[in-house]
Amino acid sequence: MKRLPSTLALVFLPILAFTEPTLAQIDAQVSFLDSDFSAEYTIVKDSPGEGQSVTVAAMFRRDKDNRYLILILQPDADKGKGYLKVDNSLWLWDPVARRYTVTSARDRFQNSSARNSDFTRSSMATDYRITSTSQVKLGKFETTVLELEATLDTVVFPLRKIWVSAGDNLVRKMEDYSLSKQLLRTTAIPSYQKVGQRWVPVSMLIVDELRGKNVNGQLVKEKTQVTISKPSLGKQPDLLFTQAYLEKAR
Amino acid sequence: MRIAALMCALVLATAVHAQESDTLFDNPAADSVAPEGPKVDLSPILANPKPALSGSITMSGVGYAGWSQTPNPADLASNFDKGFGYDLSSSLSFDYKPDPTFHWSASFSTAIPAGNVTWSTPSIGSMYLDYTLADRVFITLGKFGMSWGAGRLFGVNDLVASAADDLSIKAFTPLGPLGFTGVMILPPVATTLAQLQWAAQTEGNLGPFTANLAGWYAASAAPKFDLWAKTVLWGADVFAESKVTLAGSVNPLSNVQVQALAGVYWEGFEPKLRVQGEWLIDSPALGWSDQSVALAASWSNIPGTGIKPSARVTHSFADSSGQLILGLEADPFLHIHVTLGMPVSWGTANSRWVKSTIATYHEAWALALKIDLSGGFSSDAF
Repeated sequence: MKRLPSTLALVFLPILAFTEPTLAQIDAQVSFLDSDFSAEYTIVKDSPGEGQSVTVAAMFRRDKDNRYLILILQPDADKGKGYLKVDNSLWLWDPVARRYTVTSARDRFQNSSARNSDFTRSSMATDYRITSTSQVKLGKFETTVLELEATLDTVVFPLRKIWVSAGDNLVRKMEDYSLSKQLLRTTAIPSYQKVGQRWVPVSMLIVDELRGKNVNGQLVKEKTQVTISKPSLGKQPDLLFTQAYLEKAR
Repeated sequence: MRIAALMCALVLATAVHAQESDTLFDNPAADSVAPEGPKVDLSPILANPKPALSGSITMSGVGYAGWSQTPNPADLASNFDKGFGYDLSSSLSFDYKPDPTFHWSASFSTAIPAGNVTWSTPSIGSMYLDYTLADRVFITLGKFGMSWGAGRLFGVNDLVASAADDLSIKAFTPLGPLGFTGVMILPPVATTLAQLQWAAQTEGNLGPFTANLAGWYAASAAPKFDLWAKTVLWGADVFAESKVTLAGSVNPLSNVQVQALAGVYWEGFEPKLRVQGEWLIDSPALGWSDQSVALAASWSNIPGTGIKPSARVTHSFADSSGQLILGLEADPFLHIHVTLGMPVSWGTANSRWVKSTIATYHEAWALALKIDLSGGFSSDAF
């Protein structure tokens, strides 16, 4: 009798491993609804023919209130610039001009391949519906591929394809498409780090399928590497998620 | 730690060049538990142990030609005017943020205005300190400017505009989804409590709208209230605003004056193109027929030229007067800034915008060229 549970586990494990994840389960793995989240993001944009540019930003998320604040720490020219998201409003603060610009989740973050929407909490369960599923091997990962279609007009990418690894419901790869099914960008997240009970990428590579240059007769696409360090779940003061806080950072 | 993350990111970004993104999954690093370590440190942008000092000096020369009244095409020589002016100004600013909770800022300036040969008495442009109380309240006190209200072109709904010349204390704190700001303003002549001015505003988000309610009170003046709501439509910032002044002398509600303002602001493209439009309706002066519109556009750079064009047009339907200002700015040489401006007004001699144009630019129609020679320094090394 003692062996029964492990025998059952052996029988059911492959089935459980390929149970299709729901979008809510996928969102839950990377959302911090019980605490604040902060980390330092290092964003390296590699533009063919133009070289690399590095941006270091401090990220503070309060997922339960749908807020985030991002402050640019490097380069010096952009130091003190900040993004504040409160519900559906997103502002960009320019400390030199001392003015706010209303910006959009669709806009590129610091002109990189990352979009402002990439830094908010995952909301695929409300933004998309699943149109098809399949099982695919992605490198060493057994994954479920979910093809998604936006249910809201406000979603940045109307069509999306995600590769979700079996067992942990983490998105390992993502392809974003236009309504005409043109591939716009590909995101790869090979490894995650666990923070409390949730996960954040160690790094992610975003390949811009539309931006690039011909180098020696070959199209070399623009790439952005985002590396996340110093993650923390420590509580942040309410003041942090306000315009007044951004105005203080100069 | 930051250098290590930076190096790691640089190496990764370079390494993946030769690979398709899928090859990253062949042998990825195992998922791990995030290490305990240093947290994000904002002190580099919130504090600087060294006081910062900056200063500038500007010599400006202006040449202009135009008509002191709206020109008569049949007699263009009439009211024609031309001239030259100059001034020399200098400013010094000081900034000290020893830790993230404390900030001391001051700026001083002096000038030799046109027609003078001596420096004016140095004046304090701003002198204030910021203090963060227990991570809960931002307090600012001293002489500093504030800007309330959603409108920018007409600038009629800013309840605290006068604070720039006064001594003020401002406190801000968030409370749930709302932000509260309270202000006490001490005018230079204030000697009694009754001469103090008080203002408060609260701001919050209601679905796709940002809403703001503000009030201003002084014992000796009519209380004012301002309410605005803002949202984003098709990428543009759109707002509607209303200011109410309770001007009745005995019963404040017996004379309610209302101003309504609506506007749009959009910016986009690279180089940045900015477009703003506003519509104002003002009841007290001429009833609801007193309506005005304003439209402004500016471009941060005509590609390949370094020239920044701008235009602004304002028209009042109450007296059919208006003003158009065209501008071009450029920095053709190091330390040299050139501005070419052309204010043009229309309407009768006593109309609102003809009078305003003459008061501001000394001419009803003019073409003016201003050349600034300026230099400055910025240092935190003392």
